[in-house]
Amino acid sequence: MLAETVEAESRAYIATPDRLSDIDSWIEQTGSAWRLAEGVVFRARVCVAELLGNLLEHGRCRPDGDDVRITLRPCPPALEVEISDTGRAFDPTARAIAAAAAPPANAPGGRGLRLLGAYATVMAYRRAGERNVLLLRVAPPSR
Amino acid sequence: MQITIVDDAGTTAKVVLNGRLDISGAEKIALPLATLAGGKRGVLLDMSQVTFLASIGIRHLVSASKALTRRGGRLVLLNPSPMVTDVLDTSGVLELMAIARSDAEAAAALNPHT
Repeated sequence: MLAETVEAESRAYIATPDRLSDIDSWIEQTGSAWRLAEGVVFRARVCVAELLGNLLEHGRCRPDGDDVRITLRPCPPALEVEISDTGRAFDPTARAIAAAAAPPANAPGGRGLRLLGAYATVMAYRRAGERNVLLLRVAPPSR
Repeated sequence: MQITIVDDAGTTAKVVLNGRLDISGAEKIALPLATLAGGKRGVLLDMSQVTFLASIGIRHLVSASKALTRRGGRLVLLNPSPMVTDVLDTSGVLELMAIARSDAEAAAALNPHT
């Protein structure tokens, strides 16, 4: 199986609204090249879009755009995504899990956190120097 | 993201979206969708060519839905893909808008009392 033998792939970007489509296209194309299920790749794209959208809306440290590094690692049938950025310290894990578990009307946080908590089966956050580092594992939909 | 208003002659409007409804896409639909939602009784949004949906796009759908509902109208989404539907479902917003899988279903959802 191709997807079991390939190495991880990484890209670095400056996080601006215009670059989000480039990042999304890269994840889509890489997941497709690795022959991962479309649903897994789509969910990973949603998670990354939510995290980067949050960075742009609430977490900027650099006016011209924070540095973002994304690493994709195939773990068939899942996809691991590591997102490292220079934005304000922000650990979304606890709020995302709580948001996904609560009824929509009572959910803490926004819909982005709810999607992140629902789609990432594993989330691990650490602060490394001036960077947020979040590791996600996105598995195939169970339904 | 492209937004095309294909019919806004009557009390309802039909709009076709094409592309990614991400942060850039949301910016493009914000004003035209809000304008229609503020002036029409119903809006039918053809989502069949929407290839991606993030929460910032959902925010505009919810705003439009609430504006329509306040005046007794409705937002109806036509044929979103299974993955886009899953995002809507997981977000918990499907109580605020209807999904139609055909033009007949859409017409019934836009005019529930006829």
